[in-house]
Amino acid sequence: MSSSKARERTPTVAYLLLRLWLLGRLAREVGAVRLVLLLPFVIMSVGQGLAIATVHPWGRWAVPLLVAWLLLSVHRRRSDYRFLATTAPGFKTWLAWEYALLALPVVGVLLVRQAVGAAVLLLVLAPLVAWGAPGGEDRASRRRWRSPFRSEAFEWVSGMRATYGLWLWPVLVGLAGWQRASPLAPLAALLVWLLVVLACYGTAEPASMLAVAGHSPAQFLRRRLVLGLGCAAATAVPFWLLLGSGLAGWGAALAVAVVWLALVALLIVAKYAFYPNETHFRMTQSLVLSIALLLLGNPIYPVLLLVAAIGLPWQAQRRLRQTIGDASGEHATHA
Amino acid sequence: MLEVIDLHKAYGRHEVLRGVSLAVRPGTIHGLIGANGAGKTTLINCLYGLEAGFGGTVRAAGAQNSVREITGLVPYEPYFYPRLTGREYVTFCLQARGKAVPDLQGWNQLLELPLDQYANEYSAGMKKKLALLAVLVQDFQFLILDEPFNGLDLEANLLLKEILKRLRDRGTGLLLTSHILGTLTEVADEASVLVAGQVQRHYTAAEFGTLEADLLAALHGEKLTHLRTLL
Repeated sequence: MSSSKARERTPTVAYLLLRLWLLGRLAREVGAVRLVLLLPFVIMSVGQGLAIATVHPWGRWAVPLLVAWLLLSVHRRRSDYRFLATTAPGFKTWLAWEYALLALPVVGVLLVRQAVGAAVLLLVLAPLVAWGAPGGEDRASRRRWRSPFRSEAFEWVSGMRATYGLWLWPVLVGLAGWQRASPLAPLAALLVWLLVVLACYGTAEPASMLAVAGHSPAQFLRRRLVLGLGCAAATAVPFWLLLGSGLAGWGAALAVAVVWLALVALLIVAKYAFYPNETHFRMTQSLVLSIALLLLGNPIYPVLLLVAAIGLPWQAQRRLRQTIGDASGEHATHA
Repeated sequence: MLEVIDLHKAYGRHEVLRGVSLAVRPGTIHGLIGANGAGKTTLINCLYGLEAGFGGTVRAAGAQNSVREITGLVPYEPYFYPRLTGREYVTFCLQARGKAVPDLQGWNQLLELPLDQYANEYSAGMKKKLALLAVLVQDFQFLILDEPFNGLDLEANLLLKEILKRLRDRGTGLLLTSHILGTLTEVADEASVLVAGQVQRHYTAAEFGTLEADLLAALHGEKLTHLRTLL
């Protein structure tokens, strides 16, 4: 960063190198062992998902839309947006390059699968995301009503805003209903909705919010789980009903509901297991999701998921004990 | 000159700025005074182009460049990437505008920052000084500083006042907000008082003597009457 070559860098290159540099530092903190464990799973599950999607003619066109939507939901939650706007007038070009580069591996897969049109669409859509309004800029929200639900279920309120989840949900329900003759439609909708839920739990709230609650780590975690699972179940009910009333039957729908909710619970617990390191807990959440998607591919995957199901709650309570303890200590010092 | 003419800004039906006009001239320090929620930060954001959808005119008069190109901003709460050192932060701020990276040692002898430590682990005062360092090394024509004295200790406070005065003397125009009225009137050449989204009055330095009494009357008129019955 501070070498003499740094002085000659164009702003765009300087920004992209900075992002790479920071990613490298955060990855080093996550640790080589975890990365070696994690990356193959993520690559395999994403690869498998893309392979399945690109077989279907509609699926090919859904991939660029899904990737652009994922990028937009990340873009809308950027904590550095205001800083970049303050630091340099031309920052949106940097973001366009960043999003195009992030989309490149998927573009490569689409090209290999001979979905040239979809690849071109993704190459066009990904940079355009940079011009989307970030969530915090929606200032009308400053004057929105307050309620116990908004302050308690803050992950869902901000997550829905960032991912346009409130618009996406009826679209997914509509699509799943339209194609309900095939059990794959509600399943695919549930998977996309799981990504929305994942986005809701991808940001670390300030430590003061954990301490203010005034609960023990176990109570705090239970409260977050009950609320998160309640919201997740309430929004997933239409998909389960569509699945149950279709060819899959009620038994299969119940099984899917249980597995889906268990995954949501693991995603929530994974957040607090590595709180407040967002890179760390997002990677763990990706790992959990990847293993769940690859579950039937190898007998080792169910074992890994079981290990995660036992280990993550223990680690979450341990981390919360440190954090809530620290935060309480901080309050006492200030007082 | 940075100029704001008849600025209006609303969030939904809530009007935050109502016809605000002010000017920041080169070689002067313009203080912006107002209670919390008076609209100071919104005004700064509109002036700097961080807010859209406002009415009125914002311009860098007499210059071909936009406000953001010739003006540095130190926000109320500066942002720092996690795992980025102070030195890397300043380097990036310079590279972001395509500027050469100078030796930071000279400025840092004054500010005494641990530049090789992660910036997000700095104290509030150190963060403010680091954000200030990043704009000081860029030699802007204008500076907008939102509560620059917040979190600074006595020594840093005195030093910052001296830095601001010297910047003014060499021609930089400064727009400054501060809750600390005494500090602001010590350095400013003129001030605008913002009350409920409107400029209540512009003051020249010669008129600062009545500023505190006027502010008390504007912000706490009824409370003052009540206070007189108590004391």
